[in-house]
Amino acid sequence: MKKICGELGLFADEGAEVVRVPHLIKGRVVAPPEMAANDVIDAFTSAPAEATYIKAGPALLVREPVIDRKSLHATGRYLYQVFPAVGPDDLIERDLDGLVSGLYALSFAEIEDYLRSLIAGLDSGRETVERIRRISLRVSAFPDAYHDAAFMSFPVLLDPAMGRAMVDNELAAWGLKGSSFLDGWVQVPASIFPGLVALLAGKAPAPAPACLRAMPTRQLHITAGNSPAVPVVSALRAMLTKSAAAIKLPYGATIPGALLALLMAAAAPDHPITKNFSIAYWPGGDEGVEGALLGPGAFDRIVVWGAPEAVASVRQRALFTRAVYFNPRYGVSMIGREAFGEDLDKVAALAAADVMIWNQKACIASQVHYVEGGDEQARRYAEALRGALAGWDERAPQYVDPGARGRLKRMQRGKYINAEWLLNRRGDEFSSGVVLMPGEFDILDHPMCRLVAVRRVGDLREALEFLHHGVSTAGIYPETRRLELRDHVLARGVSNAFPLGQCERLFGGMAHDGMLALSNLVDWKNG
Amino acid sequence: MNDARKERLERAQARLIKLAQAWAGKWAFDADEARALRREAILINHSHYLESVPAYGKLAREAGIGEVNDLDPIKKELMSTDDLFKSYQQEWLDRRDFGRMNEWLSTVFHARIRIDVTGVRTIDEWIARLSAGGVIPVYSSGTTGAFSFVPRDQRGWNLFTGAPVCYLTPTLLLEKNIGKWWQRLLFRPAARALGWESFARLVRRMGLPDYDGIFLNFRRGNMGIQLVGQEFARLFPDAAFLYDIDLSASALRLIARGATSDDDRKILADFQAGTIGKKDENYARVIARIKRAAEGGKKVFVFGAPYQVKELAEIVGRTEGRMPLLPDSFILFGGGWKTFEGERIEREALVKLIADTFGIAAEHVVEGYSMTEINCVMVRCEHGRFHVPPVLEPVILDEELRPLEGNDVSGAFGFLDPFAVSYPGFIISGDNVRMIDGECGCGLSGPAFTSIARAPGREVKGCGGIMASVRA
Repeated sequence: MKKICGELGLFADEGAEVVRVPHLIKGRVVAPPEMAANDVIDAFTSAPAEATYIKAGPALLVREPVIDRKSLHATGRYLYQVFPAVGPDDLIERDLDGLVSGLYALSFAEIEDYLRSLIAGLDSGRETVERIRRISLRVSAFPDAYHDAAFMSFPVLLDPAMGRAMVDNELAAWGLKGSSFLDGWVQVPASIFPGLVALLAGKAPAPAPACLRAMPTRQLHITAGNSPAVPVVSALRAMLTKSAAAIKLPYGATIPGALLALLMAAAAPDHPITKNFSIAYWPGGDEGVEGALLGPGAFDRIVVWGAPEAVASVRQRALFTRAVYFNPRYGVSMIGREAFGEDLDKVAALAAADVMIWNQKACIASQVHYVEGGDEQARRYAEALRGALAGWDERAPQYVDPGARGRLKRMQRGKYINAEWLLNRRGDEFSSGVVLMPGEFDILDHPMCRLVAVRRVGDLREALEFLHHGVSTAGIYPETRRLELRDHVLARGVSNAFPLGQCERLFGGMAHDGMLALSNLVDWKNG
Repeated sequence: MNDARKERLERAQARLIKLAQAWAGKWAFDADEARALRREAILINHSHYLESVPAYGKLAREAGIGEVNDLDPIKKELMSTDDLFKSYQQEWLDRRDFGRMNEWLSTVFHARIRIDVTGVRTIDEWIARLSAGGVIPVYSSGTTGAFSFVPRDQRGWNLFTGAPVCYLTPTLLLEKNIGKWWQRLLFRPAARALGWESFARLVRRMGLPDYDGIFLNFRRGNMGIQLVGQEFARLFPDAAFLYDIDLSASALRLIARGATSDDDRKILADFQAGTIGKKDENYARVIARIKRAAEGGKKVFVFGAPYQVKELAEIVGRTEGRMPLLPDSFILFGGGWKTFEGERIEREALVKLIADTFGIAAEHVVEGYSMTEINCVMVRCEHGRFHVPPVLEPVILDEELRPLEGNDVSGAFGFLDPFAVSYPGFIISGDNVRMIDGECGCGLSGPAFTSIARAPGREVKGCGGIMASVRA
């Protein structure tokens, strides 16, 4: 990685205002064109204040606000990133026969080897990884601890054993492991009905054996920036399914994504996975790029993570390609009255852990807590939770962006003026808090910045009324109540009903948003 | 409010309306005087809210602010958001607990509401009961069906409906050449000689007798854009409504939130039968009225939301081809450019469609901008600017809701409304605007909006959008 960066002038000076960021285009590291730093900065001078990118001929210029890591405020300066411009033809793979004889013909063991080589590449390139981490931290909206943990977790995400568990379980069929279907044709012990025509003809030919295969696909992944891990997880799924993939990086996680691009090119430049992989950034909704990418025949699968606008926009445009949507969702917590007979602070600490998943930006992070009890008990719980969140403010102080601060003020000065606000402050500014809602709460108002809406219910079952497909996860306390309510919660569209405090759990082969994701990324074939 | 303060406030308000008339007529206009009067009225209102509006008092207590001598603390700390007027519990409406709704409405009103709501079963009945008791709630809705209720007393209602008449008249009479020649001649002396209330009465009495008014909304109902339409309709001896029925608030809420009881289902079914079920019939009726007016040598005034005006023009195009109206006919629309289906209507395309279909000049297609919480209307000039009349103190705020200073600023549109006395009129809307302050090519001066869009993450609001949901 160091050599590639040195040769192409990528991520050269970690303190610079302008950094050059590469794309991976079908295995090739593509560097941005040379531009003087002043020209990059000047390009934004006449742009509106809210502009995040500018197209500059063969370059795409992106800027992100630099955050002072001590004061946790925007410095007013930007980190400018220069990318090469990308076109749809760079990303679409049309040589299907080449894929059949190359990438699709790999064994899963070769995928495991590939993942091992990436992990080894991380280790040998740790100096570059470290430099990129420090550059990324300058603009990260996540607390330092979260940002750094994301970088440290790369080897965990790329773990071959985890990958095998995902493939063997998510693609399992007929009692057989998924990797066998991914490796090639599997004859299954089916009892074959020859069809009506064969019956009518009176003489059916001897049936050929029934064979199934999980055929890799060409995948476009439009990822979200609510966690720096999302582009990596999405890329990993493409790798595990031996698929030709283009990963669209999200604004806000371009630099960690570019690290993966460099890693693949450095660790296994000639591997068929690398050769059929693209990682690039373009502005979301750019019709010049996406028009062709979302058109018929360009990809076999489109994976969309994220913001409501992104999901809605792709839904409208990708009418002829099978799409897998990871819709915007949110988590809730359900606290049974048993909590008040026990150590309430301990329960609040568990609940806070579910709030703090990716600093409440993840779609599984808890935003609303339904508390079974009286008004006074709900208030006691809210106070305990505020205390637990204050602990997190100490451990991992957060940057609260101006938009979130504005939304908080809107809530306090508008629809929720009559709610009870229990806020933690850093100096005189919001750092986290709990709001005791006297009634209905509109989730679209939630600023997702360590704020929990607590709603009292007389019976936890009353909370079932508020559950729907928009709720991804419910953390339930205590365990007896979870087991009692689990199926009722899940029947309403919720995907996960976990013990309180365990909502971030991961295991290879687990369901994601109501599906086994890998099974939706391959094409199941009969042949 | 004591009598002396009340008198000062009313004097300032009256003078502001006069100044707005002069501003709109492009006569000599003293912007500094207007600024000083706004400031005076706003500070009086601040004291009044502190004393009499519980929600405002709470906001001020929490911000640690009492009496003030300038507007800065108000702009920074005491502007509530427009959804303050939906800070009630939806379940109260679900349970038809209008006693609780009265208690809540009292928190955003300058007097405690003790109007008997015994027997009240629907939102419409509640509004009627309140209105009869002197509290007039104007409502608007968003896509979630959570209504805003803005309560006005009788004087506030008079200002809400009367003040815009005073300064819109010069715009329409003099700029758009609407009305009779003698009306145009009489206007200026009348504006000078009469107080604003007398002037508004005179305008209503004279009306626009050589026009037929076509209103693409409901004949009755307290929703924002309906009221604008109903108020305009008073100017026309012959006015027709697309929906010659009440706009039922209960039905509108059920459209968004769903019916849960047989009563609800009946309200919804009746409403849909009168709107969606009669869509073709209703349009045929108003098109026949337009045709009759054109053939009878009368000019036509059409008012509606952009989506409705577009629909009218498309239906005319399909059924009649072109339908040229007399010169000086005009079309006024407002209420949002996006329907609930997310369909965006392009202004230029709409103006061209109207001009082609009805054969009227593009400058006779006029767009207005306002909202339920505000007591004025902004009209878009031919240079594409929505001019803010000097009766309003606009405040543009950044993402973090900090007020911005400058002659060219973009952000959330907030305002301090000197005419809002019965409810807290220091409000941050859900719209983002670009505001330019200075001279405009049209001859008007002062702040004006060159673009208006919904703030990110804010619910689609606006009566135009709601009308789209009816899809009748």
